[in-house]
Amino acid sequence: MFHHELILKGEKLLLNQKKSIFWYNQNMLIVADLHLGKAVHFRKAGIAAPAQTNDQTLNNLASLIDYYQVSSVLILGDLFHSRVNSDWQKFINWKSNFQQVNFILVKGNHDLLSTVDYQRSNLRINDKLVLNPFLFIHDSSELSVNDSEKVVMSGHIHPAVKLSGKGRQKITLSCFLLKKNNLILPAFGSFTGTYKIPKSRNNRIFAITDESVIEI
Amino acid sequence: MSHSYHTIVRWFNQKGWEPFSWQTEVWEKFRSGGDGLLNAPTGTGKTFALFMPALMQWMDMHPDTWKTKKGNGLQLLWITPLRALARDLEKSMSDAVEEIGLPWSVQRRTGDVSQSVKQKQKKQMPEVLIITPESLHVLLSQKGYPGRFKDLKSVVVDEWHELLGSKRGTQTELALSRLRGLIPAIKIWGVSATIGNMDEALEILTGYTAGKKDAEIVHANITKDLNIHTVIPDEMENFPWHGHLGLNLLHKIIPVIRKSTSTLIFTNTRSQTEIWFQQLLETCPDLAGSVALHHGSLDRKMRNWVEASLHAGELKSVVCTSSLDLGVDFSPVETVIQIGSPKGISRFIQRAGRSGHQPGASSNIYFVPTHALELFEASALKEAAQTRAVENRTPVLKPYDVLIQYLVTLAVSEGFRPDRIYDELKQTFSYQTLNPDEWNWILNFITTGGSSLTRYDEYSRVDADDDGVYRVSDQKIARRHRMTIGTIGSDSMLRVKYLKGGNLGLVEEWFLSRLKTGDSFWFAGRNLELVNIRQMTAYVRRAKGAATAIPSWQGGRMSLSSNMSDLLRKQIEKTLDPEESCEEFRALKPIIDIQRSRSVLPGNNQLLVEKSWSREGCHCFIYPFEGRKVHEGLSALLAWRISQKHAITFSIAMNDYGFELLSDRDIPVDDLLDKDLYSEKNLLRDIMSGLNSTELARRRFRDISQIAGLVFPGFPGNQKAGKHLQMSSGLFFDVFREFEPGHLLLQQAYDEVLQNQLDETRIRASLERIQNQEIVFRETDKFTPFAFPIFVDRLRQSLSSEKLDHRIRKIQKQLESESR
Repeated sequence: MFHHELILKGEKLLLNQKKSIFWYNQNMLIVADLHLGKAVHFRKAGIAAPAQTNDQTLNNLASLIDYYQVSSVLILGDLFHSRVNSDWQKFINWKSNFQQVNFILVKGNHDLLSTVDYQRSNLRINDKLVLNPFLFIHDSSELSVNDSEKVVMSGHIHPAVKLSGKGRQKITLSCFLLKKNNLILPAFGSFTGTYKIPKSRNNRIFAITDESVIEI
Repeated sequence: MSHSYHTIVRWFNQKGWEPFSWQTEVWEKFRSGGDGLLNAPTGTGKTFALFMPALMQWMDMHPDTWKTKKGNGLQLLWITPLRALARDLEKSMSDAVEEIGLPWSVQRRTGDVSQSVKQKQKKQMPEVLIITPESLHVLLSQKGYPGRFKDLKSVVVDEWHELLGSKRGTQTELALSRLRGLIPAIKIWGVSATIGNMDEALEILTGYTAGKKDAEIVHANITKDLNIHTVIPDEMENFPWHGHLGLNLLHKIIPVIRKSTSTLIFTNTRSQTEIWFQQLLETCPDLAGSVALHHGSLDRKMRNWVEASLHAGELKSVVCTSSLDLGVDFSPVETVIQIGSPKGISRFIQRAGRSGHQPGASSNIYFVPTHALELFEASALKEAAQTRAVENRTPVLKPYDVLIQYLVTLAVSEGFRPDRIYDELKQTFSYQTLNPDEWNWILNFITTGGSSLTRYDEYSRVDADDDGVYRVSDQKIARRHRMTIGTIGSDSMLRVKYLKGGNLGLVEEWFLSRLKTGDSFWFAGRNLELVNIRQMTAYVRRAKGAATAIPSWQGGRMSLSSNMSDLLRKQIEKTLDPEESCEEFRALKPIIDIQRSRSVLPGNNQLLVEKSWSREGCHCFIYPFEGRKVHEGLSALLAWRISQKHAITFSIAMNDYGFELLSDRDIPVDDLLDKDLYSEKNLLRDIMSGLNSTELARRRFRDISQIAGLVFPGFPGNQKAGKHLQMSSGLFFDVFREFEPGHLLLQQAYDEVLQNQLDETRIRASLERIQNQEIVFRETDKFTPFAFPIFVDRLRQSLSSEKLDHRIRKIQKQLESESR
């Protein structure tokens, strides 16, 4: 595993190339925008998206949990893409493999399942969550001014950066984005698009390649 | 001669016309029952050649009642590639039936016809329906379509050559195959301008029905006189060796515009159109109001106005792109001006043919070179016009995406039985080689969503009912499908609109995204200020002062056709012969002399390789004269093969004449002179490794995924709705590559890269030619006139335009002073 170490408010965060953050002192894994169930949602609408993307997202998450031996997993929203479908049960089954791990969901705009469905999953659910020195929310643009004291971690925008090289070579990479006191995570799910962030001097960008995380 | 024949001839005579012999020939052949293809150029009476026999047939069938019988159901379906043509056809056909006294109704059904008219057509089809291929497929996607076609006797496909080489052509083939399946006795005729493969065009149109009636081609044999004038620069010494705008010859064409009643000025790109229009007005302010511009990104209403004014003779000149290659008859046009290489012979002749439609008039075209070497092309075009060596239109073979769309279309309306449709498909030219494996894969794709799934899955799109009929039952899927019918992909375009209302047209998103509010830009022949961008619309107001930016639209640069490059090579060789003399060669003499003093002028059996050094490193220029597209593949091939032998990095540039390999270290010439380098062995593997083939395929996949219904562009006017079902084609490409590498649509994307983008066939042909050529090598101290434009082209990618111009001018001055 490659780690790019980032210290924020004295806390050590390890940004890895698997699009997640390991919060060292809390022994916690942080991910955003899994969009589980999305391929099935497309398929129900007659669009033949490969359903294996869902398994891949869960497998990736499982191997990260194993690797760090974390005690908790914090999901920064858009865990599930659509109304309930067969992939929700799959998620619940998958989760039962990790009885020792505490799963927390900060709800995103896509997380619209019924209370009953959420209860079955045994997730701890919040609209936003404070674990000092951080504030966790899905979409940081919904924050009020009072919250601005804290360092905010969020998802929602699926940040990516476009790099151009000589000979008109272009490449788009998912990235972590640190914008003033807001750290935005890339989308973790295997079937999610990206949004190219405009270049700006206020942004610190950590681009994700197959092998590493590089600050640009 | 029959009664009906006399009725029609009488009508002709009333109009003061006499039917041409080829028109009556078509009438005879049509009425005696066969399918066929009429080879006739635009604006020659081709419409009445095929419209009249359909009327005659009706009169023959109802000799006593044809004057009174109304509401007869659809008799004639007229397929046209352009909506703009439909309107014109509707008018001339309606006038004709009215004057003849036949109570038929002629209507069109295209994207711009109102819903209420379409609803009325549902209840009562007109006798003649004019339609585009897309709208015909929409019709096939509606319940009860067989009933609408039940009275149909004949189909005419207009401007068949335009449809032929595209997926819209395949779409037409599919619709025809369905109509033939419904009505075995249906008569199918096409109209085509002259193309290289007329026989094939007929075959594609009529398909492979067993025991089919004879089909034949009728040639109108109209050869209008064609006068080609080359605009020769006054001083070759100051005429640029590179460039593409051609504005330095503007002053020479102004007298031409002034003396003609009406002139069409063809440019090769939309941005060039905007620039020429702007410059023309600046140079001749008195022309304001009587010149206009026309290109594919302008609002339809504006284009309609331009077309109507041109038709009525109210415009002195129109600057346009290929958007006016086709379209209504512009009789007042007396002269055509072509700026820069038309890249192909057919296109040049087609454009020239837009002029001289007055009786007895001939076509006049002025060719304006944008750089010196285009004078070679000018003389090549003159020769081509003599021999009429026009290009082939190669049909698209077996595009899976179009087939998938078509099958869902049928499943949405009446459902289909796979066996029956498979038989119909096998009779089309495009899908004649479709094998059972591919067919099953496609059926599987639309019913289960792909090969890889075995477990229970919630996929639904098309399902087989108990009777084995494949249907779409979900109304939402049906509605979404109807909305996405059509095969022409669209980039992300923003509408440009005045604040006060009024559409101006479409501009690509990436261009507008670079502008800030308050910036001004030149579009639709106006200077506009960007006010704001909301919901895919850029709101603008008129701006004062000078425009700063002119949008450019993406879309690859055109490449020389194979016929054109063949002629070009021969022209270059001709200049070696002192007996050959024409104004172009005389003008070219100073340049030819420089080329010969620094290097050589290659003959047709020679491949010239030049090597020179600059501060940037070692340049090797190779000149196959095969067009940009082929050079893209060839250069990648050579660079890859050399780099396999030595550790070396190349930067590559190309134009229509040759390409350059540049490296910071010495390029081993022995390699370049070794014929093995140009071998066909492992061609595909080497090209695909040399190019970023995945990236190229990913780009092709954009259109494919949209046609096949994977990517849903959203409902018109409401991009938000359905947003949860939107995903970029690139992501689909990636996940398929990972999870379903055998996906046929992926395979199609790679095939399209080879066939369309790289033109594998031509690369092979050109390698074969090189094998028989003598490779001539020259080391040059200075760049030659052939090398210079390529060298400059590469610079474009790394320097800003202002510095670039400065630098190019400097280098050229150096070169010229050295040559004196």
